[in-house]
Amino acid sequence: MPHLKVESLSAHYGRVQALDNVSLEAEKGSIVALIGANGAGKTTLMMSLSGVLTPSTGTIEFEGKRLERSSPEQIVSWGLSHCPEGRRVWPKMTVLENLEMGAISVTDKSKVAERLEWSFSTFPILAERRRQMAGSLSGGEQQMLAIARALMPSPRLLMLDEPSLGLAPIMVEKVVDIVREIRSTGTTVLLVEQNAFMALSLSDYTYVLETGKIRLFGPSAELMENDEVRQAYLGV
Amino acid sequence: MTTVFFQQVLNGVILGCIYALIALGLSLVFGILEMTNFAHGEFYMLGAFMALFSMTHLGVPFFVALLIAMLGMALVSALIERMVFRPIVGKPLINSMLLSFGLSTALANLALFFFKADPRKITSGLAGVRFRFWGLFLTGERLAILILSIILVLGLTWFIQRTRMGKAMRAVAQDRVAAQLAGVNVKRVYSVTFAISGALAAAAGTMVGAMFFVSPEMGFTVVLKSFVIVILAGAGRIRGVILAAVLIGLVESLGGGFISYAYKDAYPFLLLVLLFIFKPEGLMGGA
Repeated sequence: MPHLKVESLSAHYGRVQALDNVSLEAEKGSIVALIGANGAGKTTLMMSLSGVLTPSTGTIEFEGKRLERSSPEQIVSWGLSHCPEGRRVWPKMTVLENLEMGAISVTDKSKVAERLEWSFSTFPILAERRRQMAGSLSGGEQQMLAIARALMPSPRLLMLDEPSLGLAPIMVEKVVDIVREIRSTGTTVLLVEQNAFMALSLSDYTYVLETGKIRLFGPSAELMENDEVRQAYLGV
Repeated sequence: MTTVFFQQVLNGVILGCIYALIALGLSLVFGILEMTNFAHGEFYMLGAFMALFSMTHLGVPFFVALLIAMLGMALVSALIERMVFRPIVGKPLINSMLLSFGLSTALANLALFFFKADPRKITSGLAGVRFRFWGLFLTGERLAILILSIILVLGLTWFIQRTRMGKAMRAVAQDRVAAQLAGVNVKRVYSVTFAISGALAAAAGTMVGAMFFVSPEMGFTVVLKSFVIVILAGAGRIRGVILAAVLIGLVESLGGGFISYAYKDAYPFLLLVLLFIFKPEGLMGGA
């Protein structure tokens, strides 16, 4: 049984259809990438999975639980965490407060302390800046904070929306390392990227989304050789 | 002359502390729900009546009545949020402006119908205690009000800065979607925000009812002055709101004492007009 199973999912903004009959699966411990142009519906799919948007039809199943009618706070507490596009850290809260709030779904205080320690050892720059306002960090540091925040509740599935957007190449590499490390702990990763090359080389399986529909899917290594993908997304 | 000046400063600070209680609630609702609540003045009025009736009908002492009013209005405000404001969360500001203006008129007129128009006074029993120092004059009642409002303002600041719920409130104010994704129960944050806002308004109403009068229309000018304070401070800034509130209290008290008491309600708005002309980015600087 797949870790996450989305079946025939459709979502609307008013009368505009943003997702049309999308189905996808993610095996436990795999990295699954979702690529596609701006407005293809990648973020909409993510927001539906985390419960911020309520899909119009279709089902979402995670570890045997149905998510499509659940609230975001329930979904986080069930082990699915979402690091949103554009980082969205709370700018006028300190790094430490951002991380603490990331763990608001965790009731066990010693567990929170343990996660904080883990974050600070994984992202030493955050430990250095723990008393600083998140808004004063650089773009790359904010991305680290956003990822660390999403990892605070020790999710079993992490959704990363455009983690490399606007980052310097050296920071993109850092993000790649982190994603590999997260997966090595057995966490499933659902990765949304416009940087198709990064997404395809990092992931095990890839879905290509176009105007709200799944256009193509398959093992990433195979899609990398696919002419359509090469032309449209890799520019070769 | 200097004694009169300092006496007016003292009165202005007391008034400012009460304004701070009212404006803080307004500012919290504006920052967290992105709504303007013109019915906030009626929360203040209803709180004052709750305290008044607790004293006249239940015979409880002033401070117990104040507590009853705060708890009662916390509950009423949370209910109003759930029933009236929740359906328009995320809609453009004009929705909450119109809706709350209607609610304000409805509540004020219901109060007029049931409680009648004649102004009544809350008797704290402390007005007779008098202190004199450095030629200044202070009743026990005003001293208690000053201390109490400072405690409430500090308590709120502590709550927002230090507690889990307070941090959740700040997170929602700064980025609601990010807060949802982290697992913040945003609906509960909305309820708590309105409850706090109502409780603080009730405390202010009770204190004003003791210093001056309780009447169904007492909320009208107060809510407008509170908006002046929130605008002066810039939304979502607790320290800014407290400073602006004390400033408005001083302007009103000094203007009343040295120019004319008849125009005391006009001075805060005059200050706002001057601010818009000379410092349109707001008192505390930019965004």
